[in-house]
Amino acid sequence: MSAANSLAAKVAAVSPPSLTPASFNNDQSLYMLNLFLMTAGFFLGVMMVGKQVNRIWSQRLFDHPLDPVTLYRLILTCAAAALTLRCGAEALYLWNWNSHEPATVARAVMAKRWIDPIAFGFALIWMTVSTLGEPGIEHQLRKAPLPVDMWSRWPALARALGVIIFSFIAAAAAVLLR
Amino acid sequence: MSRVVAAGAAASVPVVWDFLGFHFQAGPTVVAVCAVIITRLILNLNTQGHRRIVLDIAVTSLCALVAVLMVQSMTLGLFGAGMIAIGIAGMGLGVIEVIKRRMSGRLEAMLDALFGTTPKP
Repeated sequence: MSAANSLAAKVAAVSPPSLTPASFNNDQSLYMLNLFLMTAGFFLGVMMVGKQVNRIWSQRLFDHPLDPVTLYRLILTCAAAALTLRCGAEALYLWNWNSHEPATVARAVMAKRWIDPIAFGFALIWMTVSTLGEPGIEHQLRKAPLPVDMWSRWPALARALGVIIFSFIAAAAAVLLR
Repeated sequence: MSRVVAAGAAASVPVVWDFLGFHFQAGPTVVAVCAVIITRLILNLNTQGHRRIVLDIAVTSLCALVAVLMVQSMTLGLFGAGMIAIGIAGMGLGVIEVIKRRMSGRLEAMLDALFGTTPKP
């Protein structure tokens, strides 16, 4: 599986030179939007996976693997892993775009085709666990103090907001300063 | 028409910043700094105990400096700059350890050469 001699590399080599992949039709702002969102999605997904896996592992002595809370964390982990891999593969392709290096572009686009099915696998686990655990989880979720005090936890989003802002700056720099 | 537009877009020159006589490619440099900051933000998400803000800022600045210098000396593209920056920011304080390990041997060799204490073979 040599990327330099692949069909994808040949196609990239003969395409007219451009600063964006052909599907953007030279729309720099659309390219920047995609670059920004895919990068932010990748990093936010990594954050979510790390947090939920850390919670599962640190609470393993208190929460049985089949407790509703563990299932809930597993669902979030798999959903975030699917997002991470999907956005990460797309970000890999977008950041690697360089019409003067067909081999690099081919490597990125071929890696994407292999990473995407794995991302779908995580999505499948997420939906399966959610379907199988639905009655038990819903039964437990209908317990007494029902309204959740969400709005006092805004500061917990500060770091995520920082990730989004700096992803935007990086994407803007990639497009504007090139 | 679109072919002409494509040629014009591809011909745009990259912005290069000059600082102390060194040429910094603007895009990869900014991307490296952003990647360092994002990685440090993610890694510090779950820190326990009291927050050491001054230490965090110092380590982040050090990582950003090392990353930018590596990007500058290796003239990396956008993706390479991001990867190098994520790796260095992931090491965090370990960067000092790596450089220290590299430097201590060199320093001893230098002192040996300076004072002539190298044992004769």
